Amino acid sequence: MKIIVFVKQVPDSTAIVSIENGQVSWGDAPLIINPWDEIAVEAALLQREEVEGEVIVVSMGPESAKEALKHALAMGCNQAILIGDESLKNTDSQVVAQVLAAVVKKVGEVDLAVFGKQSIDGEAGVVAAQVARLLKWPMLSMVSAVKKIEPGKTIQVERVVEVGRQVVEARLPVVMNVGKEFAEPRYPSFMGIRKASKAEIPIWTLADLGIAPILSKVKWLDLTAPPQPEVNTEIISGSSPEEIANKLVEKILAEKIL
Amino acid sequence: MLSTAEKIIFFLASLATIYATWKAIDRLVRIIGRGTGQLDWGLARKRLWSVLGKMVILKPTFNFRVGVSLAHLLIAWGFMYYMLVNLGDVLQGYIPGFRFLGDGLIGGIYRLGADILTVTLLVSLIILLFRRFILKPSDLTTRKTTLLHPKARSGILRDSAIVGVFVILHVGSRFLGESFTIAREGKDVWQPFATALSTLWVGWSGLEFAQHVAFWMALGLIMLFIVYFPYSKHIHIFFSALNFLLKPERRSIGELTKIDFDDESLEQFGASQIDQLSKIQLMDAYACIMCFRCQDVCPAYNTGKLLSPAALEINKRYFFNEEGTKFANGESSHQSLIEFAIPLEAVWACTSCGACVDICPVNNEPMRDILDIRRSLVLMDNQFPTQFQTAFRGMERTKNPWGVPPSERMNWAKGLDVPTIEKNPHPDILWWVGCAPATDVQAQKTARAFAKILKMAGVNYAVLGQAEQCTGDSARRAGKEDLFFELALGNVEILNEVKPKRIVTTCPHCLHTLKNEYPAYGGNYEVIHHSQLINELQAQGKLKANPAAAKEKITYHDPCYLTRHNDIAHEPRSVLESANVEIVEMDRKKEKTFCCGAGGGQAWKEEEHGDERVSANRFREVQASGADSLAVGCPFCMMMMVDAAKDANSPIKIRDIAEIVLENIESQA
Amino acid sequence: MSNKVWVYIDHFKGELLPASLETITAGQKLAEKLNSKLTALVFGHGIENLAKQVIQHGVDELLAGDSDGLGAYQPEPYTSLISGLAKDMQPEVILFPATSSGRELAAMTAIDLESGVITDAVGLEIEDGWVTVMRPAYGGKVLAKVQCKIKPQIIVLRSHIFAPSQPDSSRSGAITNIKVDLGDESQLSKLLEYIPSGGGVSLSDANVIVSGGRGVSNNANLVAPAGLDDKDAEIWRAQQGFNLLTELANTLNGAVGASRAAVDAGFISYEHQVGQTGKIVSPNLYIACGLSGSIQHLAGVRTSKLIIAINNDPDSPILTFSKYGVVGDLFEIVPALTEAFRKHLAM
Repeated sequence: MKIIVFVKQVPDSTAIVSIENGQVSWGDAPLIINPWDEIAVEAALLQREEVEGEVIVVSMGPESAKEALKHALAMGCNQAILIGDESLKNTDSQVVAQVLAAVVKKVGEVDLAVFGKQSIDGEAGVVAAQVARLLKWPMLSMVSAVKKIEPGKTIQVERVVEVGRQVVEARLPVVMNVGKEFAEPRYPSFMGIRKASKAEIPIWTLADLGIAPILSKVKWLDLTAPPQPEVNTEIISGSSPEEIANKLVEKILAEKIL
Repeated sequence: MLSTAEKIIFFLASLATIYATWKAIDRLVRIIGRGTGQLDWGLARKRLWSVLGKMVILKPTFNFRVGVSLAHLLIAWGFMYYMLVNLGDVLQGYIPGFRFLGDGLIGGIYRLGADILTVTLLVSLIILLFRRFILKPSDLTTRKTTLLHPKARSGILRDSAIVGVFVILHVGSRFLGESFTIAREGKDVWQPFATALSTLWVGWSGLEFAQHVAFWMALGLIMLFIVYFPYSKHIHIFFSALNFLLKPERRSIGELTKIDFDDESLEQFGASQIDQLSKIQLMDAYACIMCFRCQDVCPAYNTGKLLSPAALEINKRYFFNEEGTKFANGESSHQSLIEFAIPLEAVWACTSCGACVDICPVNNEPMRDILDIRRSLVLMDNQFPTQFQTAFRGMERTKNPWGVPPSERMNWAKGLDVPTIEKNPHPDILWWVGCAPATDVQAQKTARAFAKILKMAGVNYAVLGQAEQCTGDSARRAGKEDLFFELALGNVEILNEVKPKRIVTTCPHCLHTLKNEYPAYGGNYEVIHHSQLINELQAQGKLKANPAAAKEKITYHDPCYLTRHNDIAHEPRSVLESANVEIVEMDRKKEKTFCCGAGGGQAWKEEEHGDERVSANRFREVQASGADSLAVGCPFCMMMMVDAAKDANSPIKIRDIAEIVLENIESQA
Repeated sequence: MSNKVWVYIDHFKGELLPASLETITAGQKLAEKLNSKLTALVFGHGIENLAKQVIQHGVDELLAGDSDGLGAYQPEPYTSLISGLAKDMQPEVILFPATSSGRELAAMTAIDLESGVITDAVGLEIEDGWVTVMRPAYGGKVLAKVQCKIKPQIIVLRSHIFAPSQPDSSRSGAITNIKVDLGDESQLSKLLEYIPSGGGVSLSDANVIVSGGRGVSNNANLVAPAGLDDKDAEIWRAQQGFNLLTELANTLNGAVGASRAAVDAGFISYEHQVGQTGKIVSPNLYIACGLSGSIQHLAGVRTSKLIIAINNDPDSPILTFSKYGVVGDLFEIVPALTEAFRKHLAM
């Protein structure tokens, strides 16, 4: 069974982010593999353990994205490919989707394409569904577990939806994205890291994929970095527990996180 | 006095003994030769005199069990003296009328020595055999749950019995022999005890025959015993000396070996099989006297964990005894160390406190074996307690095991005007703050107190600020050596640019790593503990203590990495005394300190299954001391003791030395 | 007025999902600015009453796809239906709710219609006849103004930003039943089973976690039943305390967590332990009760969006990490909090 998993390299979530020359800048904060994509890699590796096959990890990005690919190789992926092209800077989701769909076609005979739920920088979470639509493959989102997989035939998964969970069966090949519930990503072994650091990772350009540069349809007009509020603890007090509770609940609801 | 026939037989027997012994030694040498690395005989030459000196009063045995060690010393003296005695007796046997060392003063003193030491040896040996076989103390064996070679439990007793019986018979028959000779030839004023005994058989007709019997008993047994030696723990008499002579030079008991990850040819990291340990580690198994002192002081064993450092060495030894021939011939052991020497849970229970290394009278280092096994588990098998992942990821990504990013590293210093290296590029001393004050509230109090002290004393210092990265000690002790390698190289690069004249730190783990581990990575720094700096400042009159403050009863918990690993016990105490406190000491103090339980990566994981927490055990001792307050000198000890106090619902105040000193200074209003 | 502004309505078992109501409000604002009617898309089986409800919530028109084959949500046929309708009627804007279906339908529709998709909208404006969307990125550290100058403009909202629309039974509007032609796509996947949520939320998934520490046993007013020794009495008291926390958690559809000290003391089992040696969690709301907040515990919760602490010790470290804190007795505050939440959320 051939499984392809897509990863993105992003700045660490603790990075201090600022706007420089209209671009987002994270200074020298470390770049890491997108945590959701790490789960996707784990999901792909677990399927390979169930059914014999290979896992190909792909990333679209600059040279530094090779680090994310090496992390995935160290976790146990068989092969890595970097998609790099000058025209692919600051693209919107449908450009990415078209490129990744072309990758799936070029790799050929792929049974399963796995994505993480979203990236922690762009946070759109739409590329997976768009790749599925372009390939005309079924889309299975928010997968929390793979219950059964019959290569060449069907896959049965559990999905998390707002109102509970669903068990859905779909015809292979499928595109799926996975959430936190799927699994804890394995820690890359030292021997894996060592092997991965020596790996040669091929770079495919748009020409290699046989597609012409694609224009973005969504434009970012303006960027601001609102100042992060300092955590100054506010102690809520009152004359009775009920009063305190009411004040606190109002503050919590005002934060709009529920 | 031997007949010709006897001389021939004795000569032939000696040849046979030499042959058998040579084979046994050859086997032993080839066993040890299976280990990695090389033995540095140059060190042995350098240390010869000091080791010979150690052998005079066997100082390392007196770390513990003083009475028993005294008895052992008398036995050892007797045994060593008997090398001369046996030589003298053989010569006297072969050369008729020959009196070894003559009849004059020298001969007399020699015989007096033999006489006295014979008796002290016999008495001491009987006492020790009584202790082992009649009293059966628990500190000469290990719990039933400890992984111990199936033949070891009875094997150790049998070995002791054989050795005990042999020595009694050997020495005893020689003593009897002397008494027979005296009975025949007349009183010897230089052998009072033998003479006293001889009165029993003056005039007995069988004396000459008895003399021969005594000779053959004494020396015949020696020949048998020499062949038995290599299989007995008694061989420690040679291997303990070799251990002291050949141990590599270390800056501290905790300084581990460097693995050069830039060396692409390395295939094996750490040790999972016995032949992946170094030669010196294999020698430990031969030096081990199976006295269980290391187990006695092990914080994990004492709190019911599966770990027993003694069992580890004993299991190695029994492997050599039972399967050593095949091993010597180059065959691999069919079991990994985890399977026969020390179980997995025990490996992860170690707090790397070093007590086992410090206490061992024959210079064994079981802790190093455990940490080497950890390296193999982590680097080769990727097998380690899952909870370490968070600490590893933290050190990798944010250079802080708690995951706190560099941008928040200086938050503790808000409002305190702490100069960073950018503001003060050439300070007199660099303060290495460490990761704990970046996050833990207690450690922040310590850091703030120390910052105030430095300001008060007008010290020209700086901190690295956001550029400071974890020293990587936790990664190294947990076996994640590759992470440590990266952190070490990174830190050394930064520090070598900064070129600090001296470094002071509030964390003994940082102190140990910067001072003892980093030299192997190109960083040589003079590093002191904050209590040492405070001590200096007080001596220079830059800090005014308040002598009139109300005396508090304080007990001080020596941090393992400060005291045992780095010999710093005096300054914390003198600093505390200057703060006008009454120090009540615990029994387990200074190098005998009992670990708080956080070392060896334990702070990052749940403790292994046992009877109680290591910290709870130590805290009970704190409570028993009768102190109202506990002083600590390490942020990890602080964390563990604070938690233990909460669990015990104890009102005992826990503060760092810096806080206590500051409180005292500020109390003079 | 043209029908330029469309909203997709997500529903389940005859109930409108709250995110859909927020979408209607957003749609109303845009429709007003664009001088347009507001049209809703509702797909399913037996959705007559649902359609009427949607009208009452304030849409002008409704396109209903009512068919047996649409009874269970499937991304591919639903997408084809939406894009088919859009190709025919050429809306200018299609808004999707902040649900998993909403997001993927928007994404796939954008591919069909060769347009872009904008997600996580927290603000919508019109500039020169085009919609500009404010959306956060990089974990909220950046705010971007984005636009897609291709029609239809496909936008997914972020939840809890727009107010949910209110029903008004006096409202009316046209409901058009559209032709539903499903084709092969509906065979691509099949819903086998639905498992309703309930029976406790797991810690790793929870959006809200209420945690207890050692202080949870500290209720002097509580007298343990006779016959329990000191240790068991403490555990009994702690369990009563955790019951209070569980009620609060249930009110907020959250999970119950605990500090290592509480787990070690036997108050609650290890699966609830939060912290460096337990679970690392990232809920939107973390309420720490009777928990001092050791560094290992905080390492497990630092990425929570909002941390609240209730502790009777004003010096406990957890308070310095909380945005809001109450220095008081959790046995009084927690039940009061549960009550206050119940009242506010019911409104």
